[in-house]
Amino acid sequence: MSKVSETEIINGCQKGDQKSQRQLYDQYAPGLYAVCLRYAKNEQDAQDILQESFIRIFKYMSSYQAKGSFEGWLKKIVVNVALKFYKRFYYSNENSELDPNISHLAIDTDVIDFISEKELLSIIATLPEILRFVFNLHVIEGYSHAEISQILSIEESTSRTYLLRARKKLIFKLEGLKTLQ
Amino acid sequence: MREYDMDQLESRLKAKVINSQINPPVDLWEKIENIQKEDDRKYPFAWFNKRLLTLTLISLVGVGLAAIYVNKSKFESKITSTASTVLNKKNSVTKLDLSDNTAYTNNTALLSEENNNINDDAIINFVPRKQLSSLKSEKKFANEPSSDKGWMMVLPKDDKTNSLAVSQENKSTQLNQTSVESTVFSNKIERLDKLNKLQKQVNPLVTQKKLKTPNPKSCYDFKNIDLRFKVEGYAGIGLPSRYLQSKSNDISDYLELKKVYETPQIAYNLGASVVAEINPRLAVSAGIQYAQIRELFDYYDPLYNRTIIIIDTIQNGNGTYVIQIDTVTQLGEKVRTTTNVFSQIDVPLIVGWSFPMKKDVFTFRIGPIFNLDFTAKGEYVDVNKNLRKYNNNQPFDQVYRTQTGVQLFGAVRFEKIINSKISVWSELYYKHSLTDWTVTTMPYKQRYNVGGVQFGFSSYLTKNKILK
Repeated sequence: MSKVSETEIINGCQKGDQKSQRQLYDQYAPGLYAVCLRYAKNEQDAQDILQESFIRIFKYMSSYQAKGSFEGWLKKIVVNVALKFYKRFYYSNENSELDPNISHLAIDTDVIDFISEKELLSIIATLPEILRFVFNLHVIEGYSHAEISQILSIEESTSRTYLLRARKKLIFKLEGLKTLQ
Repeated sequence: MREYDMDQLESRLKAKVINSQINPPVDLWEKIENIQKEDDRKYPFAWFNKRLLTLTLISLVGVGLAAIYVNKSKFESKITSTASTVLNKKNSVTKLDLSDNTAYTNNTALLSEENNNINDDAIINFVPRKQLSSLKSEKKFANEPSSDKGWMMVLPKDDKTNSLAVSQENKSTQLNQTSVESTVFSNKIERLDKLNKLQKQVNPLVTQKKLKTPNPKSCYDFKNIDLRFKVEGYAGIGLPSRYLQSKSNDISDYLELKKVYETPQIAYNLGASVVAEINPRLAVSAGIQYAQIRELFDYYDPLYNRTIIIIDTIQNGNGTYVIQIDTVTQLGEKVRTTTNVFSQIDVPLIVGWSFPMKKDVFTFRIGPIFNLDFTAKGEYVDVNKNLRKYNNNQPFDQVYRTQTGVQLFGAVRFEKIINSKISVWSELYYKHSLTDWTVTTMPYKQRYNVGGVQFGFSSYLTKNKILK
């Protein structure tokens, strides 16, 4: 099946054409699902987030103006849905079970080469929600702490603290993985 | 092994996940498609729309108030009415045939109470003022008002045999004058003497016939629909029972957990309605009510933590003191007990069928209750056993619909009539939800049925009828 152009898909979806909607799903769902997995705690949540994201995408497609990357627009919707999904847990699920032995922020990064994308995503998923969000927004999406503080309604310094915690936890997990290997 | 700094680790990690592609489950598209179809699908009742329903309600109330106003005017007195309306009441009015009487053609009528409850007090005679004036000019009615416009309503003596003679023939007497000046019953005694004098003048001019006793059975004549209105206020208390069913077998454990965590407590309701009595047995009512179901939620929270600030003073070796402030987070467990509240604003449309027993009335009532608005407040545990809060504002977070559809209402009412206007009642009721309250995306179906008792009062806006 030949790949349909992005513009054709967008035009079709804006007219409410179901075939175009299916094409959009087929083309972008795998990438967006990976984003969902980064933000979600488990696969079930990720599926729920993706499902809601596509419903919103189809609903608001008519308001899409071809400014910037279409994929970027789609990812932004997914991230927003994910943030709303977990918003109420920002402060409730903070579990500070830090390993006291980790005093440095260094790791043999070769371990990353040996683990699959899905494994890496599942490690990120083990982070508490707020730490996971800050880590994803800052490290993967490239948002500044000032932007994160606005998105998550937290202080900029808090965002930095959360990132530090997220890093520590991630290293702790990766160290564990390295030991197993 | 080489060690990299954190930035390097993150950049490698980012490179690995930023463009990763993972195929979602194959059935996810079907779910999205189904949700979209359900969103597009209208409610089974086209008119069951918030705006339309509100308009319907406002219209109902408007019609009710208009009808109340009309009935009130009618009851308060027969002060101003059209003579033709009065006389055209089939079977309920003994009409006159005075065509052979030149002096008083079309000038006497017999009014009755509604529904043929004819009695002596209700016999009223109409005499044109013009003719009264002519009599006055003969100085027979010296004390009567001087105006000769319109009609004068006169009351006969209580004795039927001395009353005005009337014809039972069912000929319609058309009166051209629309305005009838009447005498209110309360003035009857004061004017009785004058009326007796007038009767003496009138009696010789008309033929005398005995009044026929009205048939009480005609009170229930369905053809004679004459709406009577009353307003009702009520409050009730009940026990809710939950209907909870899984859409798939794999969440049966979760539903068991939900049953342990959530215990239905009590239901309240408060409402008002306008009742239209089509006849003494059949009545329909429309109103608005607020209903609340309360549920106890006990949750064992393993992630409960609290932060304690410890301020300590430490003495240094050189004799100075240092104040040390520590923040300690204590992890623990706690059982959270909250009350979940489900609130509904409903429009009940109820039909009642009464069985009168002297001054008491026994009524069966049944009808649909349409939900206008539903809100859920409180907490619950989701399928992944996470503690969550009900949040109707976020479409994605919704557990319950914002409108819970239709409930079927059934009740048995015992009504005690206090006086001609007021009655009090109590009723046993049961409300059965016909639609699920949960949104279609939830993996289970949930709704509440409520059984309980309601207490209220009814106030007639027209004179009450006591069935014989």
